[in-house]
Amino acid sequence: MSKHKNDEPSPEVILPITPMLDMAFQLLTFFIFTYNPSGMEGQFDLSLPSENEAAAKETKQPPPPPDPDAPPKIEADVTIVVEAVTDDINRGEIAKIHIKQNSGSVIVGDLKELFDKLKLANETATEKEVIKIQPASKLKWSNVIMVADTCRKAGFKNVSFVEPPGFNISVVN
Amino acid sequence: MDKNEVDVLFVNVRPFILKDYESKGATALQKLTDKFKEGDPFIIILGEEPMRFSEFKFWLRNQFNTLKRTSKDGKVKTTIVMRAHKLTDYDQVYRVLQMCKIEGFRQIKLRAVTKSVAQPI
Repeated sequence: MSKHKNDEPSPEVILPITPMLDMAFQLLTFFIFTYNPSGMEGQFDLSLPSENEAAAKETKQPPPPPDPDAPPKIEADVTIVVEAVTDDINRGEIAKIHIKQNSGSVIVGDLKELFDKLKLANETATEKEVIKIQPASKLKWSNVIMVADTCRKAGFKNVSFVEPPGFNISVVN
Repeated sequence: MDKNEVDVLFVNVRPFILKDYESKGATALQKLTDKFKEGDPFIIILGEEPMRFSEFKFWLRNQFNTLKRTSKDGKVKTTIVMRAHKLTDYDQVYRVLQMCKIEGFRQIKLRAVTKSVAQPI
């Protein structure tokens, strides 16, 4: 077998830079135009008793048999009751907001007024961080969050949601 | 670190609004309209078919039992992150919270959109 000697120079590799750049920019443009960012989200931590707290209470005294239907007891000086509009056009919007305290109850018309009243309530409250919100059953979630957000801005960092009036627990079981 | 400590379960709650799903394609839309009427509340979980509340309850129970069985210390440390659509009624959100509590999940977080326009889940 004879050895074949190749004296010819190897073919030069040419990278087609221009069309590659063109393609890269086209892809970049495509992704910029089709990018659809999702809304930024905030987060509420719910006030459920931790397992350690529950265990510590159990060691002190034997607790009565737990009632799974009973709502959790939350100590708060201020409770916000939000009523919802029930007509077909504005169904689920805020109708009235009640601020319930030990000193009595006041009705506020909008979130701005709620904020002002809560700011004052926060100064006198013994439980400065805790507030309860009792929205109506048919209140839209966006309105619930707006009320909760107003409470947080007014200084109540621990917002708890309680059972809506007339809630039938049997629908859960 | 125990795997369950960082385990998160996203639960999306929303009413069925036909126009939000018109772009999903005829087959998927037909499947949804067979199951839900306009305004029906339902649950969406990644990797699962959209569920009615009754289905979700059993799914949650199975999930809890599986997590408990596979956990090293027999405790479920999974956090439920609940994302409710802005048009969901409060009683539906509360119902889901109660279901999570009854089935044994203790750590629950509520998410809400803070900026921009809410996207359909």
